[in-house]
Amino acid sequence: MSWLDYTVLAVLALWLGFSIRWMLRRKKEGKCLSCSGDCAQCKYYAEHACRSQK
Amino acid sequence: MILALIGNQNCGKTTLFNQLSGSKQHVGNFPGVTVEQKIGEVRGQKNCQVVDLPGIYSLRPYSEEELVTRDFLLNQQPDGIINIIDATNIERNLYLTLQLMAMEIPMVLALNMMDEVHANGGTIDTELLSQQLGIPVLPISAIKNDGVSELTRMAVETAQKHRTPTVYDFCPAGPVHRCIHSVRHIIEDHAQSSRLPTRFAATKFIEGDPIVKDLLDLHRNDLDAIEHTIVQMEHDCGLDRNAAIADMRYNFIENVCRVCVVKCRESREHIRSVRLDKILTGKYTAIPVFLLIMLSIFYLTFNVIGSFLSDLLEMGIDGLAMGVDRVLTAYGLNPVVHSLIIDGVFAGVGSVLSFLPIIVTLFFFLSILEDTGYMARIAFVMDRPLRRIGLSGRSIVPLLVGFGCTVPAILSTRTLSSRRDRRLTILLTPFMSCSAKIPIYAFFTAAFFPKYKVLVMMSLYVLGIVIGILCALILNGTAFRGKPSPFVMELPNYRFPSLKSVLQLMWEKAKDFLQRAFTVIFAATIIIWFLQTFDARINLVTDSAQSLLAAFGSLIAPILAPLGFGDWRISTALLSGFIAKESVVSTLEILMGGAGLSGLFTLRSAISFLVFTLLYTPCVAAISAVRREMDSGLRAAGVAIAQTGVAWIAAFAVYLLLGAFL
Repeated sequence: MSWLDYTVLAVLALWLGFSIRWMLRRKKEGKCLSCSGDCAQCKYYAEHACRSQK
Repeated sequence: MILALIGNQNCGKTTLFNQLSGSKQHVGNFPGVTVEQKIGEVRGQKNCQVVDLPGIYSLRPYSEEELVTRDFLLNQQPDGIINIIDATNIERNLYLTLQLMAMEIPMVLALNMMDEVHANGGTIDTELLSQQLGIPVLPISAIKNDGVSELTRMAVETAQKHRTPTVYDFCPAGPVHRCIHSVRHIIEDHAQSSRLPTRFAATKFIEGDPIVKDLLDLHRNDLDAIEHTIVQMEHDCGLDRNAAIADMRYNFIENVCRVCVVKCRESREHIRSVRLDKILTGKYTAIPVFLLIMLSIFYLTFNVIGSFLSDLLEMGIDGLAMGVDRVLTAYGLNPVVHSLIIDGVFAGVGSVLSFLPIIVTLFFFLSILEDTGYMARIAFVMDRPLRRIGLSGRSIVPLLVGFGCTVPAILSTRTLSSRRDRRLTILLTPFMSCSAKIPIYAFFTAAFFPKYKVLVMMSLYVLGIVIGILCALILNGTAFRGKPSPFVMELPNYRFPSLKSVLQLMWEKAKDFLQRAFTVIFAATIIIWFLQTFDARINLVTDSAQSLLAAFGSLIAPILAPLGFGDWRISTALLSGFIAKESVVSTLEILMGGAGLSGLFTLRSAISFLVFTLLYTPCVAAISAVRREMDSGLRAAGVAIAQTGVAWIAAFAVYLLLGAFL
């Protein structure tokens, strides 16, 4: 393994870390991970909006 | 300070909410778009929030929307109400206004669409109307942002000074008047201890509102006395209790409008809409026209615009992958890392990404249909067929939303008033093919039916609907016996679609898809690549059939073998689809390792696979939505298993049937 291999792996690990962070944050906010629908119509979205306003 | 935004369906509430708060909530041109309350900060006002509540026609607790709004007013006790009404239809809209006034909460009345009233020769004397109703009345045009700042100022001032409506007695001397005042007298103490406005509680009690009855918790003697008073009123009026109260309200509205309103003539938009509706909602023309429109949309999306853009993007992604491949080879990157990037990330994320134009194009057309007002006509046209299969006409809203995504579709079943209708609709919604499955269909049709893409796509959507109908008929005759509740809706005038709202919806779809591709699909891709590259001892495998993934996939593969696709790679792809449907494509792409679909499927098994993916369990988000709405994890699991069972049977039947021809 060369330094380039480690660099590429580090970039991918960082990307994966950001992806997992995004998913966890989205889940914490009550939004769906695999919903490609309109968030504005979603109960979770509305509940989050209510919580964040309070 | 909290201001509640309340009005009838389709009167422009969400448009006004967006103007007040500067947010970009989706504005639907058909009823039932807002199911839950949404909160936004009022622009230019400190510590002032506005809550967008679902559209309702009365405060009777019939539907979930009415319950949400009523609960909010009674339990959250907002500082003020902005009651928005459609000024072109003032008499009907004021019916809700009178009920809100009885809540004794400071309120202002926003006469929306006043520009249309004036354009069609009508006028409303707002000052006189304000005197007659005892609340501030302001003319606005929410869509043009006219009068909105004045409305905000007035609503805040009214709430701050706690100016409750000064008129609350709508009944002239007579039997209804006597009845309301007698009931009010009897329940006064109970209403105050339950923190209910007395006039509101009295009228609701007379109307037989079960929630108010429970809250008041009256003694037997009081109940008998009230019943006697109501029966006396019914006898004197010659009307039943509900009709008598409604009649009292409408008489008051009629008298107010007689002095304040000069009715507008029929608008050009309405005349045009009536003409168009003769064809678009005609008894014999509606369904053929609808099918023709949908066929055109599918043709343009999958054969012309969407597929062209998709091919371009795919070429770009392939070019980039080749470039990266060359660079990585030139720098002598480790073969495993090289494979992770090219066979994992590029094959997985890239394959899903190339379908972005198709999804955006499809939603471009669908948002035009919605914005013009045609979607509402579809709901109207489908009412009768839906009733025949035991569904309420209202079920069409969740079913239509289901073509976008099953999660909001299941949530929007809350607009259905009966538990039976709600549950039946929840069970049928996953049969409507969601947009996340489009990449799977596009992937397979491009490989197996390049000349008949549109026909196959359309057939899949139709098949989903047909299976849904069959299930509805079976359930209606067995577990869900009963009559669907009636459906009342208002058809908006046809209008030219707003470029802003169409572009907004397209952008939301694209953003959402990209976010998911670079996060969820990326993570799934890495996991799938890892599992197919290593075995249980984390040793690199030369043949992926010895990998960890093959071990998992082989457990399920025998169940799918009778359907023509018993390969472990396919069962793994289907499993990954439970997280997100697009993952089916990315997983197959990784596992095929550059070989085409024809290495895994025959034409017969490809069709069987498409039928299975169309019908099998919705994704985890949709199942959790089912669990929430049905309030049972067991039922949600039942839905997932039943759905997969139906998919298995349908795919098996198709596979057997095709055996005779292919």
